[in-house]
Amino acid sequence: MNSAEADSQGLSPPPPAGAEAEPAARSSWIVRLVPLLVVAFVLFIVAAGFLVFAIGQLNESRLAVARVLEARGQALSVRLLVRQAESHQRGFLLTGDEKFLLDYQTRIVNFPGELAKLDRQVTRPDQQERLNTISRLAKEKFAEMDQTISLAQSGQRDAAFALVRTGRGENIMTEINEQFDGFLAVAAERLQIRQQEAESNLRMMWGFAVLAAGAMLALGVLVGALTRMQFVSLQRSEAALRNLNRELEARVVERTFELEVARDRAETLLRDVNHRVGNNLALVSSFLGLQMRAVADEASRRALGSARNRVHTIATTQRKLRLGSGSDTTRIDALLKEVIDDLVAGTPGGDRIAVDLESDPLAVPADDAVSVSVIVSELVMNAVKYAFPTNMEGRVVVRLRQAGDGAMLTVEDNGVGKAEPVDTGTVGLGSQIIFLLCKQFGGEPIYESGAGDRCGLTVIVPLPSLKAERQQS
Amino acid sequence: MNIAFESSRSANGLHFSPSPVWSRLYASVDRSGAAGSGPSGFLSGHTVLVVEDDLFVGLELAQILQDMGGGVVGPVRTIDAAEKAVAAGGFDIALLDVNIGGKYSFGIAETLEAQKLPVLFVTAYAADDRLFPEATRDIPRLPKPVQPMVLLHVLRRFI
Repeated sequence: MNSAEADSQGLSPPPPAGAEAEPAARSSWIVRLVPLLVVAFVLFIVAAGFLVFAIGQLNESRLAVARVLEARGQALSVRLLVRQAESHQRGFLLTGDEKFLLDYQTRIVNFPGELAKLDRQVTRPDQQERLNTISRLAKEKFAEMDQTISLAQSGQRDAAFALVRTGRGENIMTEINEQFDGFLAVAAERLQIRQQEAESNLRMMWGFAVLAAGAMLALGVLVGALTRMQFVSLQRSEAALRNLNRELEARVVERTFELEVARDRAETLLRDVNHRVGNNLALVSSFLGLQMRAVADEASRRALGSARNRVHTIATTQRKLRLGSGSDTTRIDALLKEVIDDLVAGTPGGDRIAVDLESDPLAVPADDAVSVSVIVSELVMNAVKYAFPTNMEGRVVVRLRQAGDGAMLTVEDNGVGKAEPVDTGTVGLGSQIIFLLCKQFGGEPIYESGAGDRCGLTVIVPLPSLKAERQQS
Repeated sequence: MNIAFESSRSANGLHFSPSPVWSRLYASVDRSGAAGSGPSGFLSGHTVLVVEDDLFVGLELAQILQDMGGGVVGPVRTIDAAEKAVAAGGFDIALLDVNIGGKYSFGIAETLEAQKLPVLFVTAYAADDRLFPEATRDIPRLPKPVQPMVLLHVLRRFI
């Protein structure tokens, strides 16, 4: 399957459709939007800056207008002083009332101060020129008025009137008035100018305010758009991730299922193989059995029977050593127990004999396990068949102990055993088998008769090079 | 090897007798003290149905049983023939191989159990618990190759 092959080659699954288009589209948008954003921001700053400037200008305008108004007011006050001085002079000349004289003198005294004040409020040269002229003229006027008054004070009222009638004083007054008119006209003009200035300032402010608001709006829209784009792309990434996750999980489930199927198939196969081996051994055993029935003489039949028993031992061992059990070693104590049980069950007279197994819990390589089983089965079979005459109850003890790197096997019976095995057909072969197998493990079997008053045969089978590992019991 | 079987129907049911070429084998049946056989006559009065697809294994089983004095129906080598034999009857014990030519004999075992007849499995699958359906798990299983003494001990339970 493709996914399995791809996985084994270390390839990653293809990204979901459309994923590659995304980053390109997005970056083109960003490329377009970010400069706009910068422009909007700059525009806003500029507009705000100008707005602040315009406000400053307006303030200045306001101050300027205040100044002009102040100067205008002062000018009016100064003109009033002069007029009032004149009218009080006239009053005094006509009535001689001292009150008029007092008022006149007050005005005259205040005049310089007020004019100086006005002068301070004025910066334009033409206005200052006017004030200078007014000052000069005022001096002349006051001089004239003083003269008339001092004439009047000294009782020369007619001379005073005659002076007045010359009209010199009036002419000077007219000039003074002209000057003041000029001054006030300029002031009015200045006010108007400032007014227009303020209006245009205001318009400018409106413009900048609108610009600033527009820039703000544009900024808002752009930021919103960018944010939304980010959000959308994030959502898409999350969706893609979820998809990938789901795909991965599905693949894991699929793979687990495949593995389970493969494992079941393997198990079935192994079971079939084991079954076949068992069947084949059964076939061999059957042939031997049929052969046994076909031969006439006892010796041949016994020989075939022994052969058949050996096949059964191997079959028992094979059953325990299931192919594919996962290890190359098997527990020899468990194996020997089954071999002995089967042997005792299968040998006539076996139920009269008690066979005890004392075995260390050793793990032994599979092939060696077969050899050890065969040795044990030979020895036990011999003991069961020959050690005990008919109807004698007996006991056989099989011991397997770890000895150094290898092991030591002992089979002991309490029967009528002899030091040397009886050399009849099948037993002879058995001893040979025992001898050869023992040699395979680097030792030689030792046959001992019971010492002293103990009967029986003890067969010691050293297996020094048998690789045996002690296990937990 | 070509073995021709003659089939005959008798009061005991279907019997397969091998052709004369093999009759010498059967001549040994009545001999007592045959090596590996138990006390003859132990099975007398009983007839055993043998279902086994392997020719020689089945033949030997039949001989072992006859050595013990029993009658034999079979060996029957296919599931279909086994079903016919079960229907025909004429036996009181059954010895079944589990794998008959690729098919399993569990159905036959269950039928026989329902008829309250003692059933034994003789099989290489003896240790494979999972293979056997629930109903058949309690049927005694003898591992192949079968030793006559072992067979005898197990049959003793049913006699």
